[in-house]
Amino acid sequence: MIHLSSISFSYGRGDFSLHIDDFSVARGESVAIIGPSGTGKTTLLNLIAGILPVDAGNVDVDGTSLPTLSDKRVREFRIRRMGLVFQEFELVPHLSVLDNITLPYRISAALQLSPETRERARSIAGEVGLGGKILRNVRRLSQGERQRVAVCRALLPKPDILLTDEPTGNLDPKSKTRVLDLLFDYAKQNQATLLTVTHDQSILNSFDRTVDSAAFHD
Amino acid sequence: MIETLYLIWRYLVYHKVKTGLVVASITLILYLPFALRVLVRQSAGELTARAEATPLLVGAKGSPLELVLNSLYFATDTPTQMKYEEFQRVLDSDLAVPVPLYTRFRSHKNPIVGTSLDYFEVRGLRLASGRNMVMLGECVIGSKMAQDLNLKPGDSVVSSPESVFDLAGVYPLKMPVAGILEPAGTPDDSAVFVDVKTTWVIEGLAHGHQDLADPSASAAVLKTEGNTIVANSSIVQFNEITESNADSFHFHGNQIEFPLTAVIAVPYSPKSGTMLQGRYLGGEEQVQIVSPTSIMNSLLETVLTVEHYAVAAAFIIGAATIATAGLVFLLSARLRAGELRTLHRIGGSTLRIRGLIAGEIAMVLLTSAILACAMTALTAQFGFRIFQFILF
Repeated sequence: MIHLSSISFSYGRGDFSLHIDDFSVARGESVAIIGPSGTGKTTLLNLIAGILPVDAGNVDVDGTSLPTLSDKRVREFRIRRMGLVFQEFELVPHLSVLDNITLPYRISAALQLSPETRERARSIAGEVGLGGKILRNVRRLSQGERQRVAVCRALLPKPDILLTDEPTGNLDPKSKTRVLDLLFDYAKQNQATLLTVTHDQSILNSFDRTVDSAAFHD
Repeated sequence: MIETLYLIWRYLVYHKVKTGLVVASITLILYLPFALRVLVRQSAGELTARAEATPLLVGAKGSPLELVLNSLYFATDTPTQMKYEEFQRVLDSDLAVPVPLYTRFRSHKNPIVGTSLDYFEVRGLRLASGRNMVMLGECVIGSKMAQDLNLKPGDSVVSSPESVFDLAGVYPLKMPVAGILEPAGTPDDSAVFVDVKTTWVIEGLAHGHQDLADPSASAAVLKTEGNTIVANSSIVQFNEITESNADSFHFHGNQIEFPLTAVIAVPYSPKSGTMLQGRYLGGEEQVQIVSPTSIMNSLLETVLTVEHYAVAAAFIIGAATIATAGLVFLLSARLRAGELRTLHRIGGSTLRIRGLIAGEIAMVLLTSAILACAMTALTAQFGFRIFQFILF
């Protein structure tokens, strides 16, 4: 379960602040966060992931209070428990599809890249139609394919929590369906929590609940 | 560690052009001062070795450096001359073995060195094929000249006229190649060695022509007065010394007055050398005696000073190159800000990400250093030979 209480956060520039009195997401629940741009949707995901530290309040994930952990512990917690899909895919341009999917294992000492993990990365890539492009550089992929690579990277460590930021933005309908199916199938099969920021009204029905980010402001 | 190295490798391979350029720049800037130093040291060693193998040189008064460069490297087109009597003077002193040198003439671009067989002993030159010159007009040539002109014993080389406009000048002399020397890695490899008398033939101080007493030469005879026969210019002059015409070659004038460019003096002992040098200290002396080692050392001091300046310049250029490479890395890091942020977000620690960047820089520097070392080693092994090949 994810529970945010009495959260206060600002970027220091004074032009943006976020206040959340109480916000919870149950394990296995899928939640869509909607709202106008600049209302803190992405910031919320970053606070839950521990990428941004809260100014005040508590972020509790399955009984672990993230603000009380050291940077290293937060990072390890994030790596082991959370899968992140970013708005702009954030793939590393000089790496292949396979290398991007397995990148968390290469960049973090908390994960060990074994032959089994590599094989699973190939398997996941195959499931989303990238099996034939596994060694191709990601710059040579379409937008939809890149997004699928980003999703594969998030799913590889078998996270309990999926935090996805506009996972279907700029995708054609076919790619959109493919990516959503991938996320929901994974969440369902693994009892994973899915928290998605989106502007896409057409996908809201797929989620258990929708939250408006306007509620996070004074 | 392996994973970090893999990521470094992938980045460098993907940006192979940029990486290649940076590696090439740093490699060159590391290589240049070392290569310069290696080449200068080897050249200095070679110069010194040749100078040390030439204990003393006697030559006409003038520039000692010019005398040494001409006698050791046959480098001067118009060397100063002295009389053959200076050879006799060293011989008569009984203090050193004299080796005559007359290096005025050339065959194409190759110097013709008029000397004696002692020269080969002093220089440690050995025959690769053929035999030594034993007859007037024969020559022994260096290995590089033989290779360049595809010459072998039995072939001939011809002396070149000093000026194509000097129609009344010396006759070209056709000289049969008696032998070819083993490679020595010195200017001797490009030289034509003949007996000093042969160079006097080239000079016109000796010549051979048809026998005027022979009836076939009657058309050329103008008048006969006792033992003196006066002939016109239609008389046949020989431009090659053969067994059949060798006897007809004769010298005009006193041999003691004939020219030399230098005499190598090999003293019997250090004391003999000192005594010999003392004999040339008189103010009225028309010749000088020099120690090539001390002259070359003076030259090398200048060369080494120039080398220090060149190395200093290379270091300044190196600093500029390293600064430029640093700028490239800095700009690259800025361009990669998004990528680095991603690495952080997906679990990379700041230390690990900095390590990745540092590793990329270290890999470039290490590769450059290894390449520079390899190139320097190759230069040490082959550079001087290439240098010699270009020069000699």
